[in-house]
Amino acid sequence: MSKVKGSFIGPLGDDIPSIFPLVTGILILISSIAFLSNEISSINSFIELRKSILSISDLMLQSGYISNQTFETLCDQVKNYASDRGYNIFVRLQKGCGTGVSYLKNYTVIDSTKDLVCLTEDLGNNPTYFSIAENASTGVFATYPVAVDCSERNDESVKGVGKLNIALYPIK
Amino acid sequence: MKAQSGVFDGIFFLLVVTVSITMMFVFASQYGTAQTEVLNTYYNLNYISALMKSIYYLDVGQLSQIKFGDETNPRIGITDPYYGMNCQSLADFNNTLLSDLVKRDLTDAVLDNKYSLGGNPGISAPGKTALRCALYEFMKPFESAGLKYFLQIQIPRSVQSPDYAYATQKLLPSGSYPLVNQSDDNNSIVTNSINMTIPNTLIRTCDDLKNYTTQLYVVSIPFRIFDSKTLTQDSSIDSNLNNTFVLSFCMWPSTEQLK
Repeated sequence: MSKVKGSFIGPLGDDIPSIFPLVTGILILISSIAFLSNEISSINSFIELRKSILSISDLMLQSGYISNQTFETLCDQVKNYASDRGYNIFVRLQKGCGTGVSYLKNYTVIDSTKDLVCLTEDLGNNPTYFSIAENASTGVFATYPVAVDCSERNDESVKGVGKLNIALYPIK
Repeated sequence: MKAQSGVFDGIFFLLVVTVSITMMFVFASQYGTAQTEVLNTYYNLNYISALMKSIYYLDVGQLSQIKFGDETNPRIGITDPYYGMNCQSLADFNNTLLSDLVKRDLTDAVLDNKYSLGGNPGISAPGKTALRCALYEFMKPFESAGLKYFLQIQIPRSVQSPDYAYATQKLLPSGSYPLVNQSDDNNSIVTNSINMTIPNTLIRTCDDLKNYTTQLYVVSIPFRIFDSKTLTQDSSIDSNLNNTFVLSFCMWPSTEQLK
């Protein structure tokens, strides 16, 4: 008498239906881990960027007053700091001598007659914060109040209101 | 039967994977939140510290052209109780440091834009006006973002008081008395913020805000006046400390409903 084997299709064939959910699960798991790893990595990079800009601001705001000469010295230091960490930096000391500072001016062109600028990347003529946004996918910005040199003559020391803009973004 | 159990194993594995992924996404959604909050706080405190430091350097004459509460630049859409604030009057104080003017104003222990000692009539020293004009300029980004602030001058308690020991160590205003401005019911608070009232609470110090907001930023600095004569009649305050004030800056997010 021959025995009816029914649905038995071999030792491997019986496991074929279970392969589909297993493979699907493994694919979903691996792709999710890859996606989340990427997300966490970008969050870490952004946090590092923010920590760096705070370190730079600490360095630049040791005093409540930044003279033109001090700005030049600090510029070299922060450019080195940023380059060592793979970032570009844009620093502007905006002077509101006599008139106060417009905070909306972040987005306008630099007043080359008064503002002091320090940057690591050539952003073309009249760079603005928008120029940086066009050049970098991720960037952080910070603004601080500071006293600036408003002397018209070298023998007088008049200090007016100013604003320090700092932008930091990764080198492409 | 074996094939059915194989499919069940696969589906069960899929279920385990789904739960694991859900947990990972929940973790990822929270990741970095605490760090971001710390960095935000650090930035805000850094900003206030920079502001406080710049007070020592600013020339009062440079504040005279700030457009604040005048007819040419009214603040739109709000009732401005400071309408008519006269920053232009500061033009008379060219080549005077803001900190020196505030100290001069505080020489008689009253921040009221003048000082008078020994029964002499008050002499103009618009330290309070200068502070408000400077704060208006520097706090524009935070004010437009809906944060409120005030700067307060306080007198530390005596050394014997445990509160003052705490205050000196931590530079917190907890152990300090507010310097009551005798010419103004609005005590010693210097601010440009509107509607500074909390229900059922009179704001006298930064401490009053502790139960009102969870995001309170406070920076305090010592502020010494060498020729101050009489600061307080309160016998609990050590006379050696009479000329040392504490300048406290408080900032917090407004919870007002937008209309």
